[in-house]
Amino acid sequence: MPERLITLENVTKIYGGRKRTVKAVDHVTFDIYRGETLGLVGESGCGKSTTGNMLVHLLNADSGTIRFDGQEITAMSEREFKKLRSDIQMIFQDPYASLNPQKKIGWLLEEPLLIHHKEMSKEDRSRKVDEILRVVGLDESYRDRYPRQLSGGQRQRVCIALALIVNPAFVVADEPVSALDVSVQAQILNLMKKLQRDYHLTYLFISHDLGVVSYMADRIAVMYLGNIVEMGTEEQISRHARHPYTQALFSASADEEGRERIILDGDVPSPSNPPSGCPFHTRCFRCREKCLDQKPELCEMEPGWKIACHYPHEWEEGEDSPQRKAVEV
Amino acid sequence: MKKYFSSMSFCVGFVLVSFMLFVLVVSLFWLPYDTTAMDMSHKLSGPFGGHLLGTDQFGRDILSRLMKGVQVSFLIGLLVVAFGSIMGILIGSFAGYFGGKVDEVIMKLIDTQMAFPGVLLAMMLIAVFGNGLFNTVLALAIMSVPRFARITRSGYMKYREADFVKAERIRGAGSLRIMFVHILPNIKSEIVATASLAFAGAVMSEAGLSYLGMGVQPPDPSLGIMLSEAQDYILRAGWYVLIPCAAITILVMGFNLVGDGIQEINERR
Repeated sequence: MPERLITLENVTKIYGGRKRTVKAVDHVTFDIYRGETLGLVGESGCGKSTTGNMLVHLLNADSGTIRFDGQEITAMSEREFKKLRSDIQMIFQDPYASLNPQKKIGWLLEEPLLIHHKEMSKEDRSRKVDEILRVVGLDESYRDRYPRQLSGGQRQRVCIALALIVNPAFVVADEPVSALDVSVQAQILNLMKKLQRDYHLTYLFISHDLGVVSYMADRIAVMYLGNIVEMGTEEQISRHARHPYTQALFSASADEEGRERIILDGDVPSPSNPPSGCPFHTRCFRCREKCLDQKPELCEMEPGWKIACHYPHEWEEGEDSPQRKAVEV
Repeated sequence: MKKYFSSMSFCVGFVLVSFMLFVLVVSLFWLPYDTTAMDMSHKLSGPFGGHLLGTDQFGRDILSRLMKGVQVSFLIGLLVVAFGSIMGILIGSFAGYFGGKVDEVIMKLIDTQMAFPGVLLAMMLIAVFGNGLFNTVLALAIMSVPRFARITRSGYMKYREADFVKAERIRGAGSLRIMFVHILPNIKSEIVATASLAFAGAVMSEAGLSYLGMGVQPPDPSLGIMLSEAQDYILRAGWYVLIPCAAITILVMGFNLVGDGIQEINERR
């Protein structure tokens, strides 16, 4: 059994005040093992970024526990968490917004060293900055440039360098390539994979792009309306999904022959007024009576493969479901 | 800096301010006459005689007094902007960055102060602390704090949830570092625009206070004092009134136009 680096237990985050509350993350439980990439997928607004923000302590969970390397970080104050700051880093979606436009790249890269390694001499810092720039595929000449002088891909490389310069163990990548051109996406993904091998990094890879997640992730967790609905290895989720939502999601990116596309009815319900019972029942093509008022728990179906559905075995080859709409691709 | 010249108001303002700056620089090294030297035989002589801009009711050279008055205006404007901006930026930074209760309390106080007529407030402060340059500056600086606090606060509110600020937090930067090293440089052009407008306001208010006899005290010259002295001779020596008026207008309009121009370009971005 691989070592657990991150453990989430019944983590809940509620936004809003007294009148209107939104359960962005609803009793989410999962582990991230050391050295793996866990992909977190779902539509926008399903709580995947909120989960990521809680892991880097930008947001505090309302209930539940988050453990990093055995230490509980949920209730830590900013001061207590400071010593873990360098272990947990994040890469943001928009490389245009996540670099301070007023600062040069070299200055930005030196700053985390100033914060976390006060003892370092100026020469050591400078050497380290040059080194990390080369690691992410840039060179020393970028030190004197401003972010506006860089392309999106170069900026994202700088963001990766900024995350890695403090030697983290765990990196949350919140849609790191969705703002980039497709041609640049692959370069950044390959860079992230290479760095993971070289520095033994653990990634939480948040994305709505299933192709990208399948490429990056060892395991995938699927979120819907703040709940994890299915979780398993990349192979299990992308090819043999059992949860109707996962099936619909992956059928939409059907690039293979012979897979039918499942079109879901309606929109995602508002998280401020979630449906009773199974959160997915309003759009589910396998919805039955039980789904309307009983919320399915996330149950282990096979070792490492968890699913939150009352009827996970319903879907077999050749089964005919009346509500299911199949469209030939 | 270059981009601001694409704004018409900035260009005009720049020319006016440059002219006054030229007057200021010359006055620091050379004045045609002593500003308080009286010459009773040449009272209220017209311009272009022995005195370029004529003389006042005591035969003092108006040009010299005007140049000295411009000096005073610049000095007061600069000091007011310096004190007002430092206080306003500090207050606005904390209110805008932390938000919540801190923001509410600070902004309520600022609103209360803004509800007060500015000159009345200055007169009150001067009544309490007494006349003089320092007290005038203090009074006007306190008056200019709200505008700096407000513009700073709104800048911080815009940036406090920005991705790069979150990224800094994750990198372990403390609140003070984020506030003053990261956010503040991003709103400097807004602050410069406000400073320019506040400068114009300070010059105007100083002239007003001196006119009312509460700012700079005679026999020292100031644009406001010259104006109040000249009004008695408005029918006999009209140019005497116009000269300090023109100086105030050029100075105030120049800085206002510069401030407007910077704001205009900032908004265009």
